[in-house]
Amino acid sequence: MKPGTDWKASYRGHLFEEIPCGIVVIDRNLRIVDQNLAFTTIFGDGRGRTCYEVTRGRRTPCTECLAEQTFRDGQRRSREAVGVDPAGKAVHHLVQIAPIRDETGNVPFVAALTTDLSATKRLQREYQTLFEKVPCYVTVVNRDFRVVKANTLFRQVFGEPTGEHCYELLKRRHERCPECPAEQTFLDGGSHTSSHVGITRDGAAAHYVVSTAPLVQTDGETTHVIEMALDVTRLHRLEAELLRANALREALVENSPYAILILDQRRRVVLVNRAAEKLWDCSRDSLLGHALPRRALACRLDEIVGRNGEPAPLVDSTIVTAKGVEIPVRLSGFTLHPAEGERSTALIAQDLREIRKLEREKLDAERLAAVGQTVAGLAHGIKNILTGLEGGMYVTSGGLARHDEARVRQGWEMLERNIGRVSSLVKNLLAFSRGDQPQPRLVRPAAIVAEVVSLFKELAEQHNLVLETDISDVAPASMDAEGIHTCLTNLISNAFDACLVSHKPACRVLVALREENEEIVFEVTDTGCGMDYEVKQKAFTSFFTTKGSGGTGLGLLLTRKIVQQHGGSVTFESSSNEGTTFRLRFPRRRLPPLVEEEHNAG
Amino acid sequence: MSQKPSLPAPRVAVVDDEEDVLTFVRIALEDAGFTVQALDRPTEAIGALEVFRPHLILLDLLMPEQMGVSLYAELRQNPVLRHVPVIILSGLNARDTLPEAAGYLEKPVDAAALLHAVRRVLPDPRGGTP
Repeated sequence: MKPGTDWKASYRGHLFEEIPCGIVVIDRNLRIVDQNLAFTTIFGDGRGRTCYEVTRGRRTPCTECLAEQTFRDGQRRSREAVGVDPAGKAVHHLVQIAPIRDETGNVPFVAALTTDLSATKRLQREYQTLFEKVPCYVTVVNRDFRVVKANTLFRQVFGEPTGEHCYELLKRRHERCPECPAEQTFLDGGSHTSSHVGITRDGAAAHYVVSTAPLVQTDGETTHVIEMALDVTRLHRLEAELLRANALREALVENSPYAILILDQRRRVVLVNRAAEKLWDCSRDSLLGHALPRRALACRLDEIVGRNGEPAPLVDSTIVTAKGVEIPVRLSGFTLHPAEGERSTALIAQDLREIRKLEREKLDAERLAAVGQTVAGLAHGIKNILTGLEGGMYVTSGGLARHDEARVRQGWEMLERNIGRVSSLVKNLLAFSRGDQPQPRLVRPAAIVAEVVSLFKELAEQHNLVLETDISDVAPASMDAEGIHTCLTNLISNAFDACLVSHKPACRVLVALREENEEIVFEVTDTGCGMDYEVKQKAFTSFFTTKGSGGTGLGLLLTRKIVQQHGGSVTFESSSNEGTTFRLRFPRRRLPPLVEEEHNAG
Repeated sequence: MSQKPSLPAPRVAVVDDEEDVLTFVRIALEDAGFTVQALDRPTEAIGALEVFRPHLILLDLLMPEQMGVSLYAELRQNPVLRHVPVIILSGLNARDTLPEAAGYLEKPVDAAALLHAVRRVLPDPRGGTP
């Protein structure tokens, strides 16, 4: 064997084995006489068996056997076929049959070339699925911009294209778009993307982002372009809504009557509204980007911010302006947790100066109105007392005329009693009409309670009443001791009267003191006669009394006045025949500021 | 004093929550020969009045004035008491509030004015001119 021939035979044999398509040589009985590696990889070793058995898993020859035809006429043939591999899986392949001739020109064998098409078919299917199912409008346009192919979504919305231009279908235009990405792709063969506005079949505006890419190129020229139009109408609408919402938010914040500041984690101001500029009396620029000075807020931020998603507490506090002026405010705040970026704190401040002024005016007006009522009611009260005095004189003089000592004594008692009423009326009236502000000092509330209760001990014993106390340890507070003393005296005195009127065998009066939620609470409870609806309605009306000659009708009114001057409130619960509880509440933060002690005596 | 036994003393009821006023009116009228019932609880007055069957009622409009006014309205509805004349005894001028009362006495009132008003409605139990 010559070396050249050897080499040629070797590489041919090698080529036969290594070529990446299956080759099999079949004899006239359709038996495999030789096969290469690629064929073995797909169908396994089939030598000596029939081709239909090996490649199709059949027992009989195929109905239209290409090999048999080639054995008959010596022609080449090819066909796509679906075979079955040894594992039973379908194999798509292209079969090409070529005759192998001997020296006499006969065809003792044919060679069958099998190219595996499975991967290609799968890609084709995947591509088709992608084209059809992708959630945007996909079309293929030719150089006339006519749609030659469209995907499912496009066909669903715009119908089956029948040679219309893409701009007619997508935008209801009659001529090409001025900036056409498809045209650019036809010109330069590259991909292009741009935003477009069209009109839907319902006449509404539709927003698209259109991308184009060359699809078919022949001789360096693009003949077809694939257009992908993503409908962003909804996104566009959301974007517009977001812009509107942002503008609204900015307007609301800017025009809010409440001062609003937003501080970052280092307490630097990142947002200021107009009311905040006004409240702190400085320009926006001097606040923005700078840490809010400690002294600008009288309380700590964490006192204002609601914790664990709870609503923010409203805190009455003060702020200090850039010029050092203290302003009473009601503060609230909350933490902003953005999805990205660091958290910040929003601070809302309501200027209370106007409200405080109105509150004072209202209190003054109430006091004046009460004084007015008092004057009107005064005449009536005095008329009753005068009648009592008239009666006293009548009874006394009758007794004197008849030398009836018992009657004289009765008349005299009437005179005494009514003179006593005049004096207590005048005293209460003066106390009530005085516009005095309380004189707060740091006092122990428990001491006031103990003192007042001790004054009633003897009276309780006289009338066989049980007088009890329930006093908790309450820290000293800024209060007008004398005023609180008057309030408690009035309430306990009322409670005693309610017990005495009830004619119950054993009545109790309980005086309680405690602190809850930064509020000092005094409570006077009795198990006496209680109040019916009408009496409850009139409890705070001046000169209203259920005690006949025993009361002036000013006690509760005076009590309420004193409590209100301390920033507190009076409430009561009562049911007829069961008893009454009066409650005085003094929130600590509303108590009047301490009056400075005089430096030196004299 | 000659008093005809056939003429029993006229009965006068007084309703007022002022204890001293009640005492005064009771003694003054008793001194003048009337039989007097003094009532200091307006809420319980109707029952007592139905039993006492007064010839005249002196009614205070009281300070929570609705109590006096509502009692007056109740009296005018009561089958037993509706025709009993009522004199309003009050610190207020009651002529506008209750224009149909038998008389009006404005506090402070002295014994003479009291008896004068009562005698305008009831015969003098001692036979004087009404």
